[in-house]
Amino acid sequence: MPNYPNEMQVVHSTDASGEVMVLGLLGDLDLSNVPALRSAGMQLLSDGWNRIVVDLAGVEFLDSAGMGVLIGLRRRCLGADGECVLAIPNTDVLRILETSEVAGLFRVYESADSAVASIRGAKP
Amino acid sequence: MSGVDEVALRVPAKSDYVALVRVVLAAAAAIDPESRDDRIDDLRVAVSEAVTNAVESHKSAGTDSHIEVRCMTSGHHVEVTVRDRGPGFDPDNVAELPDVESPDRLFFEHGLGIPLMRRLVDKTDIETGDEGTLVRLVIDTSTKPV
Repeated sequence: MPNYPNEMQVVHSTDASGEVMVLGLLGDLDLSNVPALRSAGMQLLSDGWNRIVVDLAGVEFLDSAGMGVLIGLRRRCLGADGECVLAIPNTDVLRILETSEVAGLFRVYESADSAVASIRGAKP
Repeated sequence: MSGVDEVALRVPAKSDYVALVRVVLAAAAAIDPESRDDRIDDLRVAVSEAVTNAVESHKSAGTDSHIEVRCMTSGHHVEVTVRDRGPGFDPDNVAELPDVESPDRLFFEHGLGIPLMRRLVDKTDIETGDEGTLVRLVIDTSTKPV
């Protein structure tokens, strides 16, 4: 059963090399949480982070409003000569992303560790 | 009609209520013991899309009217309607998404909801005009997803 009220938490952490920022999300990702996620992403870019892993391990629900923010974040990372990839261990969330075809706009990994490894130390 | 259970909600057109609607409607649809979890998930997302569009429509129109949602269940047959009082839109004039391989696709942060709704449920009808929009979603929750 999804959580209600629907308040998303955003947790930042860097990988051991300090090259990659992991943006961990906890909660449902829908219209109500779009401003918080967009703001978090813009802040990271403003602070100079251009290699970002969005870790959706703590997300049980995702709809197109949330997908739109993820798409915008990847576009901005690419524009900053970086990359944004997704870590999605939750098969339900992945299925919705695939149904929407949005999964095809990202490199998707099963864990944050493998996602970090994919963009650490390599120019995208 | 006999054998039909109805749940009706009237909620403020605010983003905080999108989750409430999808939680209630998914729970109502899941009462049927033959319902599949993945189809309830599909319905949950489709409802979220319809209510999100209604909230944004009211926001663009500056109206504080409520959004009306009904869920009719008869066994594993589920029909949901979402009615808003926004300005309506031309469903034939919705921007077509570029191919997923196209770099331009990353510029489309919006416009994903209606195509996703159509893929998730068995039938999607949209009636729209100057007095608002009515979205009708129909799904058989006992069948496998497409």
